[in-house]
Amino acid sequence: MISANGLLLLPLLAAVYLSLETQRARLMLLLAAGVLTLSAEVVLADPAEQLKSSLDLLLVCALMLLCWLGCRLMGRSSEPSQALLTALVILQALPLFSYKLLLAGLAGSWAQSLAHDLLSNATPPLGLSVMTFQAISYTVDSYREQVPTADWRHFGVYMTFFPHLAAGPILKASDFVTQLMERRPVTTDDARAGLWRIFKGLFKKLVLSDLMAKAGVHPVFADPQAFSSGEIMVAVLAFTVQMFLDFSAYTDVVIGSARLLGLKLPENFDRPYQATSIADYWRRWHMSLSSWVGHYVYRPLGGNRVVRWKIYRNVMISIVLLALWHGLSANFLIYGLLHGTAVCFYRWMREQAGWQNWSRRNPLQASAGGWLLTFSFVVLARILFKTPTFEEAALLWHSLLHSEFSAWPRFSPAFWICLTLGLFGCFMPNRWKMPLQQAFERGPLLLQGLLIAAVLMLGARLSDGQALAFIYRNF
Amino acid sequence: MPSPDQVNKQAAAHLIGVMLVALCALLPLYAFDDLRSLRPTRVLGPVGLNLPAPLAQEQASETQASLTSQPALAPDPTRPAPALAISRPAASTEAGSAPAPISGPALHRTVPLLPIEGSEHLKPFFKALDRSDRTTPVRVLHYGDSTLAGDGIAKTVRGQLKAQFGDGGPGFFVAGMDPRWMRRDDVRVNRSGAWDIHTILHGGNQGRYGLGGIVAKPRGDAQVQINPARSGQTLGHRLEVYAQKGRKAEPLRIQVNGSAVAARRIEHPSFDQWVVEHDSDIVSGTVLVSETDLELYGLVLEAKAGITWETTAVVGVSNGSFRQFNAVHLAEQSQVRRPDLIVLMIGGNDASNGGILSGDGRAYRQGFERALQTLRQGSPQSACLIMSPLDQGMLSDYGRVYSKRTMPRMVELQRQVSQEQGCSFWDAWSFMGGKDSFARWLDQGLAWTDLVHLTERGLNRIGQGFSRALLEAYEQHRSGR
Repeated sequence: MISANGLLLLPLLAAVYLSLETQRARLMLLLAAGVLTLSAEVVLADPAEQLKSSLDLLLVCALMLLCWLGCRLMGRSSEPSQALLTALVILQALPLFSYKLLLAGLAGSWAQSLAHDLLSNATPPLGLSVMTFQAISYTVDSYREQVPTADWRHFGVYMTFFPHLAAGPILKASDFVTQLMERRPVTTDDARAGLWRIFKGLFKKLVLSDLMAKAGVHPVFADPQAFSSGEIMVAVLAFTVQMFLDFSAYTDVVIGSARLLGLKLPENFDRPYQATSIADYWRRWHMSLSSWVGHYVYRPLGGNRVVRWKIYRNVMISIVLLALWHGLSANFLIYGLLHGTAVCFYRWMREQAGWQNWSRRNPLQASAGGWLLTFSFVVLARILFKTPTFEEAALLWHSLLHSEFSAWPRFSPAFWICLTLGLFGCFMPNRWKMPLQQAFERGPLLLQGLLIAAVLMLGARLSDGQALAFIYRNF
Repeated sequence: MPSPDQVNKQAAAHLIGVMLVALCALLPLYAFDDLRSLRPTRVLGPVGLNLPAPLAQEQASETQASLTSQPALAPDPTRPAPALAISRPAASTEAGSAPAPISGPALHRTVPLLPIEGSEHLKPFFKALDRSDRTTPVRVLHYGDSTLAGDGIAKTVRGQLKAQFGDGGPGFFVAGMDPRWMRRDDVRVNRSGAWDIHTILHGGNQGRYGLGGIVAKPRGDAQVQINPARSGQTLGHRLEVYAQKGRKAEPLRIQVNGSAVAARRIEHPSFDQWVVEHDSDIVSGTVLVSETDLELYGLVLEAKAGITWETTAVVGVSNGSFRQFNAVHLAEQSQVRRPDLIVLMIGGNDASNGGILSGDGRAYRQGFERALQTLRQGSPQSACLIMSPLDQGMLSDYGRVYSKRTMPRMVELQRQVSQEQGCSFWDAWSFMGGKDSFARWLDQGLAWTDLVHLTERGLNRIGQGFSRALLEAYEQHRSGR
C-alpha cells in the first residue's frame, strides 16, 4: 500500500543514496531498506498477529537462503546437474504453492489447522510471490550462467528491492543485477521522470481507482441481486478499468521510485485494453509475469518450435499456470482455461488462409472487430477474477442477464467522472499523454511539488477512509 | 560537463526541493481543522508508528460523519434480501473465542453462557430486583447506536426479564421516535401534525435532547398518540410526559384511554414533568400539544412493579456524540427517572477510529470514559454495565470478510474503562466468536452484507446470550456466590 511513511522516506532515501560515493554503500542502503520494509510487516502488525508475521518473515528469509545456498552449490560444480536445478525450483516454489493451497482451503484439515495457528492466512507474506518468481529466475539464470556476479549484496538487493515487494514487476535476474554492478549517475531528468510516474500512480490509485471501487464496484459485486442489469454491466466494466488503474498505479509508483535511484525496471503494461486480439492482450497485460512465464515455462516446454498440438498445449499450460498463480480456485482455473482456449483459437484462426486474406483486405474492420471481441471477452471473464467462487460468478452473470434493465444506474456523479477518466486513460493514444508528461517533467520544481500535494489532497477529499490495498497485493 | 557526483547532487537537491514544496503545501492542512478533509493521512495512514491523538479524534469524527452520510450507491431496500456474494475466511479455532460455535437458526436452543465480568457492580440493580416493597418498577436505561436502535437486542432481554420479574410497562421512550433514528418493539408512537426532530447526532437544540437523545418539536398544534404494539397489551398505570418549560400556562393536554385526564405538573429547573396516575390499565394515551416549538423529550408509561427495559438508542452515535448533551439537562432528567441500571453499548461507529490502535488508545479511552460519565452523572447510585460492540467485517479487494483490526482493541479499552469506572462488562464481541466472527454470522444469515449490522435473528441471539448472562449473575447474587 502507498503509505505516508513511504512517501516521506522515499525522497530522503533517494537523496542519501545519491550522495553515497561507492556502489557498495549504495547496495547496503538498498539492502537495509528492503530488510526494513519486510520487518515493518512484523513491527506494525497487531500484537496478536506479531508471532504469525514473524513466522511469515522467517519463511521469506528461508526462501532467500535456500536460493542463495542452492546457487552456490550449483556454482561449485563445473556442470551442475539438471536434477539439482529441478529440485531447487520445486523447493523454491513450495512455500508459495503451499500458501495458495492453504488460502484455497485445499490442504488437509491438519495442515489448515496448523497453518491457522502459525501463519497469517489473509494474504501471502509480503514479498513471497515476487521473491518466489525471482528466486526461480535467479536459480535458472545462475544455472545458465547468465547472472553476471555471485556477490551476496547483489543477490540481496535483487530479492528485497523494497518498492516492488508487494506485487512486482517481476525482475529478471540477469537484467537487474547488471544494473546493480556499477554506480550510475542519476540525472535531474531521471528524478523528474521518476516523480512523474509517482504522480501518475498516485492519481490513478487515490483519485480514480479507490473511488470507483468504493462507490460502484464493491457494492455491486457484494450484492448483485440488489442491482439492475445496467448497474451490473457498468460495475463489471468499472472493475475492468479499476483493476488496470489499480495495478498500473502500483507499477507506476514502483517504476518511478526505482528511477529516482537510477534503476530502470521493466514496464508491466502497454495499453492492454487497446489490444486487437487476445494474444496481443497477453503481450500487453502484466508483461513482467507474462515474460517470466514465457522464459521459464513456455520456452522450456518447447515454445512454438514444436508440432502444432504441442504449441497449443504449451499455451494452455502457460496461461492456466499464470491464472492459477492468482489462486488455486475453480474460478482461476476456468479463467485460465477460457483465456488459453481463446489464445489457441486465435492462433488457429490466424493461420487460416481465408482469415488472412480477409483481414489483409479489411484491416480496419479486422482491427475494430478484434478489439471489440477481445475487450468484451476480457471484461466478462474478469467477473471470474473478482468473485471468489464460481457460484457467485454465475450469480452475477445471471443477475446481469435477468435483472431489470430499466433502472438508470444509481451511481454517484463522482463515480461517473472517475469511470470516464479511467476509460479515457485506458484508450488515450500515447501521443496525447506525452504533452502532459512533458509539461510535468519540464515544469519547475515548485509546480511538481504542488501537483503532488494537490493529488494527495484530492485523494483525501474524495476518499471516505484509508486507501484500499492494491488488488495484486493479494496474490 | 558536470561530474557524476555533481549530477547526483543536482538530482538529490531536486528531489528534496519537490518534497519540501509538497510538505509546505500540505502542512497548513494540519493547522486548520476546517481543512482536515484534505489531509493525506486520511488515505495514506499516519506518519510514524503511532497515530497522534488529535488525528485520532479527527478520524473519530470523520467516521461518524461517514456513517451518517448516504452511501454513494445504496441497494434498493424493497428488493428481496440477496444471496451472499462475499466469501468468508475459514472458521476461527482460536482459544478464548466464542464459548460454542453457532449452529444455524438456534433461537430456541440454549445459547452458550458467557458470564458478565465484574458482576459485583450490579448489586444495586439486583437489590432493586429483590425488593418487594417497591411502588415503581425496576428501571433499566439501555443506551446504544444502530445495533440497538431497532430494539432487536433489547426486546429479547426485555421479554426474558419481564417473564421473570413482571411487566413494568414500556417505561421511558422518546416522543420523537422515528424509524430513521430508533424504534421500540413494545409501544407504538404516532405523531400527527408537523414536527421537527433533533438528535444528539446532528445537534441543533443547545444540548437539550432529554433522556433519550432525541427531541421532538411541533410546528403548530400537534399530537402524539401512544398505543401498545400488540392487541391485549397494557401499558401500565402511570403516564408521564417530559417536556420543555412551556411559555403557555397549559402548553399540553393529556388523554388516557380516549378521555381527557388532569395531569400533575412538576416543575424542575430545566424541564417540566406531567404525571398521570390512572386507576385502571392504560391501553392508549394521547398528548395534545398546543404550543409551537415546545420541546417534547419523552414519555413514560409504567406499572407499579415489574421491570422496564428502556431502549434509548440513536442511529449513528459514537463516543463524541454524547458531548452534544447539555450535561445539566441530562443529569436532571436522569435524577428524576432514577434508573436502577444504565447499560451502554456503543462502538459500532468507532470501529474505523484509528486512535484505537495508536499507542495505548488513550484518545479513544478518554472519549468513551467521557460518554459513560455523561450518562451516569445524574444517577451515580445506579448500577452500570457496558456491553462491548459487536464484530464488524471488512471486505478485502478479493471479496473476503475479515474483522476490522480495531475490534479487539476497542473491546479491551472498553473493558478497562468498565473496571476503572466500577461497571460490569459483557463481552458481546467474544460471544459472537471474536476475531472474524462476523463472516461466520454472515454465513449463517445472522448478519447483513453491510458488514456492520446483525439481522433480527442475530440480534435476538445476542439478546439471549446477554439475558442468560444477566440472569446467571443474578442467580449467583441470590445464592451469595
